Order: sequence, then structure tokens, then C-alpha cells
Amino acid sequence: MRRRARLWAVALLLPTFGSGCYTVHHGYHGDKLLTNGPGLDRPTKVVRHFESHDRQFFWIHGGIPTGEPLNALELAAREAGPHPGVVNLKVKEGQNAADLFYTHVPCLLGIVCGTWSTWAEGDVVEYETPVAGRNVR
Amino acid sequence: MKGFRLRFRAALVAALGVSLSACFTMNHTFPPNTQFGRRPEGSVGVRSVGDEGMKNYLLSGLVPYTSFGTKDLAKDPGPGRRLADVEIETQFNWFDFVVSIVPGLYYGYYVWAPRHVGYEAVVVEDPSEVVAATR
Repeated sequence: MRRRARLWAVALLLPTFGSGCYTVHHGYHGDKLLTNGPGLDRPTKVVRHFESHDRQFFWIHGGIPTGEPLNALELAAREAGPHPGVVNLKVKEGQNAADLFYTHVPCLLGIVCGTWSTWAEGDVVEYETPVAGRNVR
Repeated sequence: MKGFRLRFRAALVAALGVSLSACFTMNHTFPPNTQFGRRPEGSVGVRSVGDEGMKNYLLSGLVPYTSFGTKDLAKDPGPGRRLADVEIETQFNWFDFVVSIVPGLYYGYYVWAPRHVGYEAVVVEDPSEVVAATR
């Protein structure tokens, strides 16, 4: 009985050391223009609207994240493709119904594992008059 | 009758959970015309800004109960200025862990589930006007 209690105590304390590791960092240092505004400094035309989602799986309260780190801004930049940027950008993160299910049911209230998601939504734009040497591929 | 009541309660809890689950999202909202990636050409950096805070949730994150979130984190830098080079960080730090998980095995996880959210940016002076994109 005491041994089992000790095991539980260790199992609960272990994640404390790793829990500070689970950090989601949204940042972008590439050449795309990403803004939550309605446009850029010159006339642009909306190429398409997008909504993208990425999910990360982690072990022990995020102490051991797996796969690519979440980054909604990189996600938006990837959506821009060959175009110069994204306008009306919305960034959010958290847990949707699927994440809550994974985290609370098979992952035992998040103790064993869990998932966290990020979303990016916006409009990919193209300059109406391409500038020489830029945005032309 | 007892079985029906039990099933009804379970269904009610499941329905409530699913209906509220979309709430556990943090909208990283910033002032209009914030630049997340590359700065607009010709803009000049004025000063660095940043803030961080704890965002609290009820029912393991289903119900946010403080307005302090990323929504209220960044202030409008004023006319002719905007935020650029924005970096956002969400952390489930040791405090959040202790608060939400250790007592949570008994009660806490479903009562209080905090996260720490912060941002860093540069206020830039940008002479150019924003031209709304056409569809």
C-alpha cells in the first residue's frame, strides 16, 4: 500500500520538472508580409481565403513534445506560397473537442500525454501591379 | 428509472463538454494593422514593447474567467504607428502545472487551469497608408 502511494507520488512529481518545457512560440522571420490589417501599403487583390490548423502531441504534460513545434505565423506564411503576404490574419491556439478528448480520456487527464492545437486564418494577397524584382517567381 | 437518470446525466455532461470545448482557445488579438512578419518598407522602429500574464480557465479550460488574455495584452500604439516583429509565447509553466494538475487529481484541474501568455514587439512609425485588399 505504502509502496503504491510512493509510486503515485513519484509519478505526479516527475512531470513538474519537465512541465516548464511546453511552450508554444509564434514567430516569423521570413520575407512574407503578415498582418491583421485589411491590406498592405499598395493595392492588393485577395487570391484566396485559408484556414489552417496544426496539432502537436506531447508526453507528460508537455514535458516531452513530439514533432514540429507549433507556430501559427509560420503556418500562415506557408499558406502564402509564392504570394507576398497574408492580410486579415487571425491567430489562435488551444484545445478543440478532439484535443480535449485525446488529453482527458486516453491520456488520463493529461498526465500521460496530450495534444495542443494552433490555428491561422486569413487572406492570401497578391499585388495588383507586380514590382520588378519582387514577388515575381 | 435510476439507470435513465444516470444516462441522462452522463449525456448532459458530455453535451456540455462538447458545447463548451471551443471556448478553450486563446485568440491572439492585436491592434489593427499589426505586422507579424517582415516590417513594412520605410518603417522606423521607435521602441520595444511587451507584456505577459496569466490566463485562467474553469473546467479544465472550457470557460475562460479572466479577461486578461492576449486580447488585452497589446495596446494600440497610436496614430501613425503600429506594432511589428510580433512574437507570441504561450507557456504551461511549473506554476500552471502545480496549480492545475497536482491538486487537480482531487479537484483542481477542473476548477482552475491557468496558462501564461506573453508577447514582444516593436512599435514602428510607418508613413505609408494601408490600402484594403480587393476581392
